[in-house]
Amino acid sequence: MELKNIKISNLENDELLDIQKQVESFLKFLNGENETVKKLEEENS
Amino acid sequence: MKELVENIEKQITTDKEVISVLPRNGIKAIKTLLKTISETTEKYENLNEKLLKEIESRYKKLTEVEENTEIPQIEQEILKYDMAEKNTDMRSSFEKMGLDRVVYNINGYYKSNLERLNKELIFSVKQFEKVGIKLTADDFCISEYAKNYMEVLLREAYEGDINSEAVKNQFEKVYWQCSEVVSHLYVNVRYIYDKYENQIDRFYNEKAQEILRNLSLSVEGITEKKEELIKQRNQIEETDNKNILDKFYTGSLNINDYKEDNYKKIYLELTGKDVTNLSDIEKNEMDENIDKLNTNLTEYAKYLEYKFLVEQVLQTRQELLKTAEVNKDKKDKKDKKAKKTQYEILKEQVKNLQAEIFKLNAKIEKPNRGFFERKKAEEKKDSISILQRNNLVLDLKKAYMQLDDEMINQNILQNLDETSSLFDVLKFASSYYGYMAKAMIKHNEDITDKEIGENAKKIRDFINFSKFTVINHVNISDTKELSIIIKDKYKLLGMQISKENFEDDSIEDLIRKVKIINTYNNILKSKFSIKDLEYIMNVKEMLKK
Repeated sequence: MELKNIKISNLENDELLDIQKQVESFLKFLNGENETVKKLEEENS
Repeated sequence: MKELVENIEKQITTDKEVISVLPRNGIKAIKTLLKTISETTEKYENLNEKLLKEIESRYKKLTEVEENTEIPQIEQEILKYDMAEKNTDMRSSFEKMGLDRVVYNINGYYKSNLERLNKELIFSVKQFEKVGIKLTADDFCISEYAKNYMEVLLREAYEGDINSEAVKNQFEKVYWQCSEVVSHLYVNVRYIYDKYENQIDRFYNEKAQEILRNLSLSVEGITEKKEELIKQRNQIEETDNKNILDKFYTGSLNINDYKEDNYKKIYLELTGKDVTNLSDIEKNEMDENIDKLNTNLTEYAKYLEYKFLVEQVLQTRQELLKTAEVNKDKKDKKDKKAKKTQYEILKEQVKNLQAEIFKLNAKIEKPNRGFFERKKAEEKKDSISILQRNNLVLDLKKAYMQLDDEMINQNILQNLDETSSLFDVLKFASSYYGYMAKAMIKHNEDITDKEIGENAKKIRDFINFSKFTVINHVNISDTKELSIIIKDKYKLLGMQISKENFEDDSIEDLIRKVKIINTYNNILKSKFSIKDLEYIMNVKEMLKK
């Protein structure tokens, strides 16, 4: 599924909020992973 | 849209797994992983931005509610009829002018607050002006202290600063000449009223006639019209979009109370019925009963706050009736002659004291002593006269205060009988500021002057701006408790409420639950659904962060 093609206007209000929360939480995860992997990169270089 | 949600959730899970399983050993693998993380982050940041935009746009659309223009119009009409009612009701001109509050405050404020004393004095001057009597310092002729102080206060008021240094200095000056100067001012305001009483009464009578003529209504008609408007305003407000939204915004309503499960639970508790099994007709009927119960309980709760006033009046009335009975027996046995009432005796006493004061004032002020220094004997004579006059002013103050008590007693006996309602009694008590203030102090001896003022306003607003449905129907002779009367009525209509619900530690809970059901029903009549409000409150919380 292509994220950019999602029709968010079709989501109900509560679904919209729920999805946004999940996305936000995933972004936090990605941010954490990025930091961890960057540290790994430093250690390996 | 469940499918779309599931798809997004699945995508997030997949992307998370990809990141988690990608190799992290070796610089090449790390670089690939970092690239994947960066690309994924970008994708989701874009999505997040889109989501936030959509959330905000929906929030804006939902919360775009227009101010109801009808409400302020009705409010204006209510105020118009309230003013008409106040100008035509049975209160004396003294209360209509608001002098009951002024004299109570003048009597009490000097101990704590010169600014408030000045405010009340100027208010009284303005009130006299409104009824066509323009006062000058010469009207404050009870003593030279009152006159000298008012000369400066009126001059400074004209300049726009009633708390100027000049006023403060003048107060200091007259205070050291006579520490009872505030009593003199109190007596003086009352004397001015006495002096112009007939003129003021005529003013209010003419005004009342004019109002009644212009509105083409009777006094009762004005009250009915005002009540009708209040009812109309309340009904509009209950389902008004902005009003509902504001209540959630300000925290007076909590969205968690309005979850469907909670509604169903409370509905069952209050009515014994599962709301989902009710037919439309049954539901409407029950909702109407809940609406009425809500109105009754709101009024009952407010009444409980002011019940002490009603109890005070009723207690005084019982004592007066007892005394009147004893006196009647004595009178029957002893003499048949009609004796003067205590009120008449005090009125006479006030007049005599006023006359004596002005006789002494004339002596003190006599300008026949020439241009030369007065002889010591004359000065001494003056001092004695001043001392006598000052004592008489204090006697007059005492007489006025006794007269107030007596006037209330007389009015209690004349205006209240067994057919009077609890509302009549509360309205009666609220008409006399001094009486109300004393009852408040008796009820709570730690109450401050400021709190008395605020509470008096609240009580008067309650009386003047409510549509009564309970206390105006219950007579003082009713032996049943008010709570039982309400409970019995709604029990008959199938509500599951008991005497216990009205006990001190339960009544708040009952009121809260009835309000939740009623507000829930009203929300459904507005543009909002409960889900809309949940969304609005969630987003509002989100935006805060």
